[in-house]
Amino acid sequence: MSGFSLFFTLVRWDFLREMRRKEIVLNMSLFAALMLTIAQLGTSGDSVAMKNVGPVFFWMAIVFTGTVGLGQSFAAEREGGRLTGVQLAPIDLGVFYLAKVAATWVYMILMSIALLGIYMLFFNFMRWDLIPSLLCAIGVFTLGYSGAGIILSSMTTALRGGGEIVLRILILPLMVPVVLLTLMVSQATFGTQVAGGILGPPLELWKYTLTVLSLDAIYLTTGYLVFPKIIEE
Amino acid sequence: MAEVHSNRSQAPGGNGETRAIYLQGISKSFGFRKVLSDVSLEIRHGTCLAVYGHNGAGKSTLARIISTQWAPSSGSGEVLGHSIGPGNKEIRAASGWVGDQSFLRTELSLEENLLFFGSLYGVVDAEHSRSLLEKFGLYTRRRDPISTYSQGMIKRANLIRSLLHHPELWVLDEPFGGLDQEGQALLKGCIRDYTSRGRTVLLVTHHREIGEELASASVEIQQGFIVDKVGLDEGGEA
Repeated sequence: MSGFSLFFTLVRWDFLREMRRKEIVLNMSLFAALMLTIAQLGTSGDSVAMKNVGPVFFWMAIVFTGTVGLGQSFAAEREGGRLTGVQLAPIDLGVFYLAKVAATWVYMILMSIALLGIYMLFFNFMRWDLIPSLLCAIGVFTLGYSGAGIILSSMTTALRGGGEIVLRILILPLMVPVVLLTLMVSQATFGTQVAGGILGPPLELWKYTLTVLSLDAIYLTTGYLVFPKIIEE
Repeated sequence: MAEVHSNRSQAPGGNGETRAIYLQGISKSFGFRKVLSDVSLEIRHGTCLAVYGHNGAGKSTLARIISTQWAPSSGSGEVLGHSIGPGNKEIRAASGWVGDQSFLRTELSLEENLLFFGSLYGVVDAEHSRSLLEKFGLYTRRRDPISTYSQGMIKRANLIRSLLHHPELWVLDEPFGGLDQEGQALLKGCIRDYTSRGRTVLLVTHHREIGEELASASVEIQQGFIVDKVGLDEGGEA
């Protein structure tokens, strides 16, 4: 079986599993909705605060709920030795990693779209002209997040107890550069400059996209090469 | 049929093509704890080798090394003509493993699981799948989710999964646990049929009576060392 057909086969089976279990997307979306609800209550009535701090809450919700999805996505592979079953098959484990990233990326995008709907409602964000830019930022951000997160969760889910805590401790510093860049592009995605402009001048969307895609490529290439070594023994 | 050399080094002998498993001075440690010590073993194709030992003796570790799940800490060897060690796709493509975990996806049906594993092994053989399902008595339940299966049925499903890709080497780690009498008789018949077709079985068990019934050779492991061997040509070539 070629790498491409193996990739699509693995992604398809992951989707089927998620459709049956209905836990990753639903769990992440509920967690994110809860975060945004609390944030909305905290800023309610102050339209300036909602506009300036809202994007921070939005990305914070994606980052935090992402760790829930990553943990669950890989923990499911550890159940009943499923991962060993895949490991013992004569396949390129790097392709398995890429398929896992692709499936998790789709789950995160679905969660982000649900989150965006809630955000538009709660924070009175009706800038339809910015939605394509925002979706582009969500796409490149969550791709790198999934790429780095699957590698880390493959290591941390093997730990006895506290694996998810270790995952959060490891992934947050790794994602800080991308989070900062994502906040800097807020002018293009949310039509506002967060943190009063202390992060520097607004970043143009195309520069942001290219920079984050480069980081994504680094995460994915490293993951493809390192993942088989993590899984083997 | 088989040769076993325990705890001493010896050059490989005989015709390499007839050798299914060849291990030379294999040891395995976890940290400072040595669980397998200097095991040398040579098994010809068509042999059913039983590996006995108490819990924690090292027999499952040996099986995992042979099936490429774990790398040995020291020593070398070949399985089906390929060097042992994790990541060896040739050994993985030609061997089937049954252990304490089923590897099956519980939210999927058995039929879907077989399709999934078939795609991993590049095997699309509906007739073979059907014959295995019928043989192990799960054909009528093939579309039910694995989560609805009993332990015995999961064990049977696990056996079907391991045979899906026509493996040359069948590694069975305590395969009789959880099977009822009918299931045990079925598995025994499968093992006999398997070896009669020139294929090799490594049967890890602490039930000596089952091993004596099925195996043409056996070894006993205690605290990581092979301490006894039966039905083997000691030292010389077969």
